[in-house]
Amino acid sequence: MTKARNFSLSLSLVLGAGTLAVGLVPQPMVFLAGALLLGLLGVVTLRFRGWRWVQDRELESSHSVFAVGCVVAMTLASLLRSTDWSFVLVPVVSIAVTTSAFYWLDRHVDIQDSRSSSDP
Amino acid sequence: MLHLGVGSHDGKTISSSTLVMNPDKQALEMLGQAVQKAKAQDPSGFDQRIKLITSSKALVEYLASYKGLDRSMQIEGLAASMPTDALTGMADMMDKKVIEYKVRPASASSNWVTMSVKQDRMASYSDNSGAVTTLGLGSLPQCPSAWAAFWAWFAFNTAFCAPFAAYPPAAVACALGLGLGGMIIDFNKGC
Repeated sequence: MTKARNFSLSLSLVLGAGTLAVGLVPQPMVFLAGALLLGLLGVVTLRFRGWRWVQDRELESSHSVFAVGCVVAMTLASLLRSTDWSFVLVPVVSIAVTTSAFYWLDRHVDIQDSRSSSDP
Repeated sequence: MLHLGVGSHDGKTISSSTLVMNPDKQALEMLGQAVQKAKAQDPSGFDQRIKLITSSKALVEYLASYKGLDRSMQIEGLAASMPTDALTGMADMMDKKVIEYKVRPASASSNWVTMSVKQDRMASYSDNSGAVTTLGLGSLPQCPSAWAAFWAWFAFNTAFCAPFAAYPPAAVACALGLGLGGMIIDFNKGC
């Protein structure tokens, strides 16, 4: 697995886990779970320190798709929270979000070693 | 009006039957006066209750099951005789089949009305304090102002996180952070 794909998978899994936490974990534990996930995200980011994200130039007009998608996923999870079907729907949303995020990142975003690329 | 009694057939449903006489000429005149009085006192509230009744399928079916009565008179009579909150609760419980009414003719001028209450549905409908809940709808916005607040929050989240699009980890962190932050907001407080 390439480094970019590895990073995309890690990020997608954190996003999926975040959707699960927001949709299923009861209060106040959800805030602890959220803090742990944000910490995990920090660890993942640090692991790829020195690498920068390069987006597909064709996507300049819709470059915020991923960010808006993350917001929609979290909003959907918080809406589904406490519903009778949350134990079914939230995992389904989480799997869909993880898969979609990985597919989108893998297809449209790459990472480059900023140190080597800055060299003449 | 003759009340027959209360019974439980299967332990889950409580039913009560009542013999209801159709209103005579004098009762209809009194009802007409009550309708005019309710209209004059609170025209907008009266209109709201009319809309509430006509938009409730179960209530309309219930009223239609009385034979030989004028439908508009029934609707106006009900709107005049019940406060909006009580009527809202009644229509909601009927639409969700917590309470069911069955009407069968007893004679040319009377009907047997059987009211059934589903105990298990009633238990999930009201919490221990008796306050009406939403049958497990959870944190879903439950009125127009709650939806307006929700969409405002969503728009804020989108506007706030979209600039992080260039760096996906920051976009994930932004969405997760605001998703957690949104939990302390009660959109339904204004309902």
